[in-house]
Parts: sequence; C-alpha cells; structure tokens
Amino acid sequence: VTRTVSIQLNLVGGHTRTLKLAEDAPQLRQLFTALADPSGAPLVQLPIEGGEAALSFPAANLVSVITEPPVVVRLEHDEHATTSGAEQRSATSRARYLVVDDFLTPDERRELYDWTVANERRFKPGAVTSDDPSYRHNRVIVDFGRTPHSKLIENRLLIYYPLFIRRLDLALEPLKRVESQLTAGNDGDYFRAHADGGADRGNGSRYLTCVYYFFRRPRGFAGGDLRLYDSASEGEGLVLSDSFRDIDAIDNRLVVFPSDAIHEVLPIRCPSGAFTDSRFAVTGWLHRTSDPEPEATLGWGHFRCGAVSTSSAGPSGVGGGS
Amino acid sequence: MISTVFTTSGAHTTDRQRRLLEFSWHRAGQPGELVHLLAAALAEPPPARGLARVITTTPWRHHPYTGDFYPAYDSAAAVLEWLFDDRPGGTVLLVEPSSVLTAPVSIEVEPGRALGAPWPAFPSAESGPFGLGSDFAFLERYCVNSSLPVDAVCLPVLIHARDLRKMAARWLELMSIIRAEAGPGLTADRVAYAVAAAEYRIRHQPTDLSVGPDDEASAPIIDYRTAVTAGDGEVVWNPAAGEPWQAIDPQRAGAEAGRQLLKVLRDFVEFRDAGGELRILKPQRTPGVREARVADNMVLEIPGRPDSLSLNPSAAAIWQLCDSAHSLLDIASELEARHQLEPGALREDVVATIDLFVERQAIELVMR
Repeated sequence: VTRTVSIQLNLVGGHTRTLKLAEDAPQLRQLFTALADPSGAPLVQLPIEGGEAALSFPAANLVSVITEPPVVVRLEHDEHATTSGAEQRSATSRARYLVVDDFLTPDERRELYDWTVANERRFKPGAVTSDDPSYRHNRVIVDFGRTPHSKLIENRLLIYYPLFIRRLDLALEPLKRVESQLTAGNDGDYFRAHADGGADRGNGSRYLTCVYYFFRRPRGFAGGDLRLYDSASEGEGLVLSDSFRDIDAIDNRLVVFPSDAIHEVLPIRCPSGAFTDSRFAVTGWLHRTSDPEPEATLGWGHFRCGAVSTSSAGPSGVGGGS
Repeated sequence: MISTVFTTSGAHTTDRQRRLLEFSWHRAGQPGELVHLLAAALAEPPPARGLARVITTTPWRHHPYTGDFYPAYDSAAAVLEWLFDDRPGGTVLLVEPSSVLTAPVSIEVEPGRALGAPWPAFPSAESGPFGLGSDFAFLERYCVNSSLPVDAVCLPVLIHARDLRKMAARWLELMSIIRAEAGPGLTADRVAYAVAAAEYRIRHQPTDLSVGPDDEASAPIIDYRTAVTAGDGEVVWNPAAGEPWQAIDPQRAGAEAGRQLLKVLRDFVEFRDAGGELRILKPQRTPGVREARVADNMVLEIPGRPDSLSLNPSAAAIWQLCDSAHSLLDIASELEARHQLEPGALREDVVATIDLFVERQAIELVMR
C-alpha cells in the first residue's frame, strides 16, 4: 500500500507550505534532489490543490523539508554517482508558442481598454500559490471571467482552439472551462519564472495559456515582455533551461503556449506610473477534461464542450453533438 | 502577387467542379498561384493530381462545439487555417468552387481596400444592427459597434492577405453565432463575412468581378450555380446533371455570360479528353536527389528522408525522363513508342509511378 506523506516545506524568509504527496511520487524525489543539490534542478514545481494549481519556487530557496511519517528517499546521485545533474537531463525542448496579431476588432479592443481603466479599483495585488510576495508583483482582477469582455475573448479563443492544438502538436481534447484573469502591470512589476499547470494533470487541468495584450498607444511603458524558457526533462519532471525566447508584448496581440511551459514576465518600466499607461493583459487558460459535461457551455453559451473531429463523420467528444 | 483560393469539402464537392476551375484558371492565364483548400480528414484521399496546390485543412462542416452541419463553416475555417499556417502575403482572390475564370484578374489591392462582387439580395434594412433589419437584432449582444457600415458584397472577393487573416476567425465565429441564434433560414456565411469585414474596418467596394450564366454583362468570373439557359428559358446546360460533362455549342446560350461559360466548358472537355492535367504537369526532380546502383536496380537517395527508393528498370526509365521538360503524357508516349505499344497503354503505370515519386518527395509537378 502506498502511503500519503505530509510534507512541510521550509523556505527562505520563514515561508512554509504544507502539501501531501504519495510516497512514491516522482515529485518527492525531485524535492529531495533539489534540497541536496539546488544547482541540479534550479526550479521546483509541485502540484497543489488536487492538481488545480502548482507551487513553484527556486530550489535555492528550499531550507528544509519535514515529512510525516518519516521517509527515506534514495537520491539520483546515489544511483548515478558519476553522472552530473546536467548530464542527466535529456535534450532541450524549444519553447513552443503561437502569436495572433489583431486578435480583437478595433472596437472590441477599445471597449476592453475603456472598461479596464474605468475599473481600476477592482484590481488587487496578484498572488502566487507559494504566498511568496517577492515572486510576483502586479495587480489583477481575478473574477474577470464573469464579465462580457471575458466571454468575448473566450468565444474567440474557442474558434482558434483546434488550430492552436494542431500547431502546438498537442492532443485535441474536450474542454471543461475557460478561466480568465485581467492583469495590470505598472512600474517595477514582474512575474518570475513559473508554469501555470501541468500537461500530465488529469481532469480539469490548465492545458493552454493564452495571453492577450492591450494598452494605450503610444505605449507608456517599456519592458513587460514574455520570456518563454526552453525546457529540459530531468527524471519525470521539467526543469528550466538556460535558453529562452522573448516575445514582445504588442497591443492587440495574443500569445499562446502550453500551460506547462515555464515562463516569466520581464520587469516593466512605466515612468508616468499612471494606471492608464499600464501593460494590460487578459490571461485565459483553457482547461481540458477527460470527463466532459455535456451541458457545460463555453464562451457566449452557444458552444458546448467537445472537440473538433479530424474525420468528416461528424463531431466527436461528449456534448459535441446537437 | 495574387493567390487564387477556393475551398472544397472533401467528398462533398464533385471533382469535376475542381478540375473545371483549375482548367479555367490555367486557360485564363491568371497570375500567381492557385490554392485548393481541401477541408477533409487526413484519412480521406486527396484529389488526383491537379493544377492547384492542395492544402488539407481541418473539416468544420459539423461544428465542433454545436454539432450544427453547415458546409460553409469549412470555407472560413480553411481560410483561417491556411492564413495562419502559410502566412501568405499579397492579394487573395477568394472564389466559389462553382466558378470559372474567363479572363485574368490581375488587380492587386492594398490593405484596408478590398473588392467584392455585389450581393443584390443583401438583407438591407433601415433599422437593426448594421442596417440588417430586425432578423439580426441578436447581433447587438455580440458586436461592440453595430453602427458600422456594412458593404453588400459576396464572393468572389479580392482582399489583401493581411486583412483576410485579421477577420477570418471573426467570420467563422459570427457564422456560428448567426446559425445558433437564427437557425438555418439566413445566409449566415455571407452576412458573417460582411459584418466581420466591417468590424475590422475592411471596406469592400462592390465591383463586377462575377456574373451568373444568364447575365448579359461580362465579368472575368462566372459562377455557374444556376443552369445555362437559352433565350426562351430552355435549359441548355445543367451543371448538376450526371457526368460526364460534354461540350455544348456556346451559341445555344441566351446570354453572353452563358456563351462564355460554354466556351470554357467546350475547351475543358477537349482538354480533359486529350489527357487533361497530364499534358501540362511536368515532373521536376527535387534538388539533391542522388542516384546509385545496387545490383541491377537504381536507388534514389532523397534529401531529408531516412530511407531510399529502389527502382526497377521500368521505374528507372520513367525517372530518367523526369527532366522538367517532359509532361506526364510525354513520358508515357515516349515509353510507349520505345516499346512499340499502343498509345495510352502505359499511361496508368506512368501516372502511378510519378505519384509514388511525388509522395516520396523525389519530384514535384510543375507547370512550365
């Protein structure tokens, strides 16, 4: 019988976080490997909240781990004493992403901008699951998904979804929901390297991350570009590679990438500090599911979960039929 | 650069339509490339070799999220996929598959300034969103600015590729919304195109690009979705009738457009019966293909492929004639003469072997 282990992570600065993992979970070994040799796996990523979210932090920030019951983990370098951490990694995978310019019509973009500026008071400081305030600095409207503007973007994303999937060489799977958040980045704001979800997750996981940029023209800020890291597999997890691609945040541009890709938002410089000069972004996450609900509706409500069939025989996926 | 583009829905479109359009494109001397967007599952066989570059796209005629069956979804989805993948530039001439070209369309358009065929039946009204009347009142809920002017145009259109790329997703989305809200009664594909273009500020000037078979006016494109009739209304040519199409005296048509169309049809039938595309297409070797000998067989090493292609003496003889100068029909004729065989005796074998070469990327078929 596999035991469940309660793990308390003690991080620099006195931060703690408790989570549970199966005794034989590969993440447990990754955790202890990071503790023993932070340079071997610079970033640690762990599933929390039943896989709905991820906890990510630099391995160097890990001070100690308390497990209950006690566990003994045989580390990678015990088994491969002559192999360095770098050599254990497989070949680097290039970051995959897609760009759609002119994503919204001019009037849709303008209305979204006006609404955003008019709703400045609804923005709250962004947070990360590790509760580490130094990891992310920006402001968000987390319940943006309830607005008509979010529905508008969702509907457009769903039209593109089969295309995105094919171009990113991912499996075409039914969708469960679209989650979205509106972010305002101003002077000094950033979001350090992280991943939004894991492709190996089960039901309800974030599958694609879609970031839509919009802001005042001419732009009142510099920086704020998206940095997408190449990845290298280590053991059963992904680790940060030294190489990356920077993607310009351009007004009315959508950038799409797999949610398990490690990315960060580079620091923003906004000399005026005015909210209206912020770099705004709607981040939409398309959640896939292996157990679609036929009655669940997406976008404006006409669309139901399902997936485009690659055959001409008709729709596939539960709920795809009329 | 002009790309002439049409979409077909796999087995749902007859192959003769495609061949007639391809032939007319060649006959008219239309500049640029002809692109055939084939909305079909990968398992479906592609059409036999033709004059167009075929791009297989994901079928949408069964809407992936609503299940609504509407073949017109294929057009917008295929265009979106092509523009997204290929990133073409220049001007796109988007035509219906039931079209023929009688003269080249060589106008290049600037971004933001498109041309389209007039749509006389455009549902114009004094009120309602976009001036479309109360039938389209629901669009108020899905369109931010419904006061924009909408141009009453339909296919064929001449539009800059950048503009079409901007609006293609919205075109497809609006089609879905109109079908979901209003059912099958409205011409969702045309209205969706017009509204999407308006929303992206892509004005379309109505231009006489196309006529029907019974029009006295002439235009470079004829759309033959309706039959050709004589002056007294008698049906002279019904394109929907069974195969094969036969030549019909052009003078029997009652209108000038019909006569033009029947001339194209007459030339097509002659072309088809004389070998069709086989007369035009010439195999051109892929650069870097290397020949070697293993025992009595020729072996081709093809760049980018891990395997090699072994040719028996017959295939090797065909390969030797793949020199960009011989058409498929020339190759067959030459080999038939060499072996003192009846004309046509080797045509199928030659075509099958050439198809294999194409599939293995040892050659491509070009028109010169």
